[in-house]
Amino acid sequence: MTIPDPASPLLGQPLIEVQDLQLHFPVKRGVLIQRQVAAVKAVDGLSFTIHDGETFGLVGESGCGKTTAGRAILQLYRPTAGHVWLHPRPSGGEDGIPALAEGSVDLTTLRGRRLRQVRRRIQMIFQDPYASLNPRMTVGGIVAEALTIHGLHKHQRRQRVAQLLDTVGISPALANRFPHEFSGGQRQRVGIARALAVEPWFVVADEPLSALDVSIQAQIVNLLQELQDRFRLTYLFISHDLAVVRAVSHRVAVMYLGQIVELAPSDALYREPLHPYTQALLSAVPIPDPAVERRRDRVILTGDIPSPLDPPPACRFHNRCPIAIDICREQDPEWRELRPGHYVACHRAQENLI
Amino acid sequence: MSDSTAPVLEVTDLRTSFFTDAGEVRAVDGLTFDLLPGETLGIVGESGSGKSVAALSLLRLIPMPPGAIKGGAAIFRADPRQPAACQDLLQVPDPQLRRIRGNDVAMIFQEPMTSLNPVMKIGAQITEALQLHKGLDEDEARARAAALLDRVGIPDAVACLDGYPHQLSGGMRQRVMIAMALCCDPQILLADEPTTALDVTIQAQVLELLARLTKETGTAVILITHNLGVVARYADRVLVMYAGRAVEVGPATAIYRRPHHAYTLGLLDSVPRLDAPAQRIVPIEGVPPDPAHLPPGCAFAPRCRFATDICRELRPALQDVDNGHQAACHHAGEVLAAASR
Ligand SMILES: Nc1ncnc2c1ncn2[C@@H]1O[C@H](COP(=O)(O)OP(=O)(O)OP(=O)(O)O)[C@@H](O)[C@H]1O
Ligand SMILES: Nc1ncnc2c1ncn2[C@@H]1O[C@H](COP(=O)(O)OP(=O)(O)OP(=O)(O)O)[C@@H](O)[C@H]1O
Ligand code: SF4
Ligand SMILES: [Mg+2]
Ligand SMILES: [Mg+2]
Repeated sequence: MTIPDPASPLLGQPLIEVQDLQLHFPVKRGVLIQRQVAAVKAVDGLSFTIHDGETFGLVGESGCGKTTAGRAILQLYRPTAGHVWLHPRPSGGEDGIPALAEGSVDLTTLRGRRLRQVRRRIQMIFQDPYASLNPRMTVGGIVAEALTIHGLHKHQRRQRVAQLLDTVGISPALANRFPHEFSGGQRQRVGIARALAVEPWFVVADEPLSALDVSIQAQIVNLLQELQDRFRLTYLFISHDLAVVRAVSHRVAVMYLGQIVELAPSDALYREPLHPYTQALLSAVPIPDPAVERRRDRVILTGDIPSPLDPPPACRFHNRCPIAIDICREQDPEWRELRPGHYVACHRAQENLI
Repeated sequence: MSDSTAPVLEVTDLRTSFFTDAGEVRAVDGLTFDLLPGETLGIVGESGSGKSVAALSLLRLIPMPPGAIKGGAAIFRADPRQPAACQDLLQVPDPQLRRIRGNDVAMIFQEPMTSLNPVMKIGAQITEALQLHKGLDEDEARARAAALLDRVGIPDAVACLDGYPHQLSGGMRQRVMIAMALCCDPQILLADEPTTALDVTIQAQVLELLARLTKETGTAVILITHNLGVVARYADRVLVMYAGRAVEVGPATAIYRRPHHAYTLGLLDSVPRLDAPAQRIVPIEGVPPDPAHLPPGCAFAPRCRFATDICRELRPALQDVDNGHQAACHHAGEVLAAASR
C-alpha cells in the first residue's frame, strides 16, 4: 500500500519514502535452545512519504512504535519487511558526496560501507541528552568524532567543530568541557551539533524535548526550526506532546499499536480530526487557558492500551473506541483519503465529515 | 468559598535546605501561601524550583540529613469551623504527625512504586491504613477497601485486593494510589506530579477521577505539576514557583490572563497551544539559577527582559497586585502591560 501524498505547493520533492514497513521483535523462550514463541509487532505496516524541507510529526502514546519506526527507517533496527527509499535531493550533493550518485536507494538493501556512506544523509537526535553523549569525551571531541567517522580531513576538523558548536548556540570556548558540566538543554544542543556535523538531509528527532524543562523546550524548538531554514533539513519529529507537534509540523501522522490511523496536514488534523482515536487523544490534552479549558468537553477513553504482542483483530482500536460497531470487530478498516491529503483508517470516519 | 473561611493550611516563610559538598542548597527559600478548604491550588515551576521539597517538608518527609527545615510554619486546621484549633505541622511531635499523615493530610507521588510496597498485597496496604486511622476491624476494612477500589474504577476490585502492585498498569496503579490517599477522607491531598509518567489518555482518566472524588469529599488539593494545561483545567488558584519561592499567586484565570511576574509571562509564552495553528513560541533565554548560588536580588533577573539595577540588588517581596492576586516583581505593571498586548 503506497500512500499518494497531497501535491501541496508547500512541500518539496519526496525525500524519504516508507513502504509497508514492518518491524517485529521476536519473543524467545527456552533455557538451552531459544525458540521464538511470539512477536511484538512494534511496527506493523507503515507507509508514508516525507518531502524535502518538511517536518513530519509522528504522535501516539507510549509503546505505539514511534521510536521503533524511527530506528527502522534509519536502519538502526533492520526492518522485518518493507522498504525505505532515500531519494536524491534536487540540488543535493554539492559537497561531492557520492551517496546518491545513481539516484534513489532503498536503505533496507544497503550493507557495510555503502550504508555508512548514506548514513551521512540520515541522522538521529535522541530523547535523553544524558544517555546519548559519552561522559568521558569532551563535547568538542563528541562532535569531532562524528566528523572522523564520516572521514573529514583532520585539519578542517577543529575549525568545523567550533563552527558547529556556534551554530547550535554553544560557545566554542566550551569545547573542552565534559557533558556533565552542561545543563540538559545545552547537552541537547551538543547532540544536535553532532547530528549536523555530517550535513544530513534527513533527521529523526525522537522526543528531543521530553527530558527538558518547559522554558528550555521552546529554545530547542526554535533552534530546530532555525536550522531547518538554514540548512534545508527534513525532520521526522517524534513526540507525545501534541501541542508542540502542531507548532512545528507540516503534516502529522497518528500511530496506534504499530499502525498509522490518521495522516493529514497539521492544521486539518487538529481542526478536524476524523479518527476517533485522534479525537480522544486531542481532547485529552488540556489547553493552557482556564477560560477555554473549562468549557471543553472531553472524550475519556476507557481501558488501557492493549499489548502489541496480541493486538485486537480487525480495527485495533475497537475495544476502546466509543463508536465501534460490529464491522469494526470483523474487518480491517481501509486507508482512505477523505479530504485532499487527509487519510484515515476507520469504518465510521466519513460520518464525521460535515 | 467565602473570604471568611479560615484556610486549612497556612504556610509562612518555609525554608528547607540541603547541606551538600557544593554548599547549602536552598531548595525552598521563604515560601508563603494559604490553602482554602476544598480548593485546588496548582503549583507550577520548572525542575528544581523546589515544588517537591516544599510538599515533602510539610509532612517532614525530607531526608535529614542532608536536608533541614530551617524555619517557617505550616499551620494546619483540621476543622475550618474552629479556626483556633490548629497545629503547626513543622512542630507537632512525631507520634501526632504520624496520625495526621495519611489520615488528615495524604499524598500521591509521581511514581506510584515509591509509595506502594511491592511485596505486599494491594488489599493489605489499604486495610492497614483503615485499621490504623479509622479503627475498623479486618472484615470492615476489607469491605471498605473493595468499595474504594471500585469507586476509583478498578474493574475487578475484589480480585485486585489480592494482587500485587506490579501486576497493574501504570494508570491502574495510580488509581490504587488515589484510593489509598482518599481512604481516610483527608482534609488535604498533596498530589506531586500525579500523572506525569502516564500517557495523555490515561492522564485524562486519572485527573478527571481525582477531581471528581476530591470534590465529593471536599478535600483541598495541592496539585504540583509542570503542565500549564493541567493547572488551567483543574486549579482554582495557581502558585508559580521559581528558585524556591512563590513569585506569583492568584486565581487561575488572573494568572493566565493578567500575569504580573516576568517569569509567569515567559512561561506562558513558551508553551505552544493545541488550539492555535503554527505559532511562534518565545523561549525564556538562559537557565534557572544554581540553588547553591542564588543571585542576591530577584532570582529571575539574569533571564529577565524587564530587569533593571534594582532587580539585581533587591529581592522583590510578594505584594498585592489585585484582589487575591500577588506577585514578587519590581516591574509588575510593565509585565502586565506586555501581557495585555
Ligand atoms: N528491543 C526491543 N525488544 C522487544 N520489544 C521492544 C524493543 N523495543 C521496543 N519494544 C516494544 O515495541 C513496542 C513499541 O516500542 P517503541 O519504543 O517503539 O514505542 P514508542 O512509541 O517509542 O513509545 P514511547 O512513547 O514510550 O517512547 C513496545 O511494545 C515495546 O515494548
Ligand atoms: N536529597 C537531596 N539532596 C540535595 N539536594 C536536593 C535533595 N533533594 C532535592 N534537592 C535539591 O533541591 C532543589 C529542589 O528540588 P525539588 O525536587 O523540590 O524540585 P522540583 O521543583 O520538585 O523539580 P521537578 O519538577 O524536577 O520535580 C533542587 O535543586 C534539588 O537538586
Ligand atoms: S473502525 Fe470502528 S472501532 Fe475502529 S476507530 Fe473506527 S469506529 Fe472505532
Ligand atoms: Mg519512544
Ligand atoms: Mg518534583
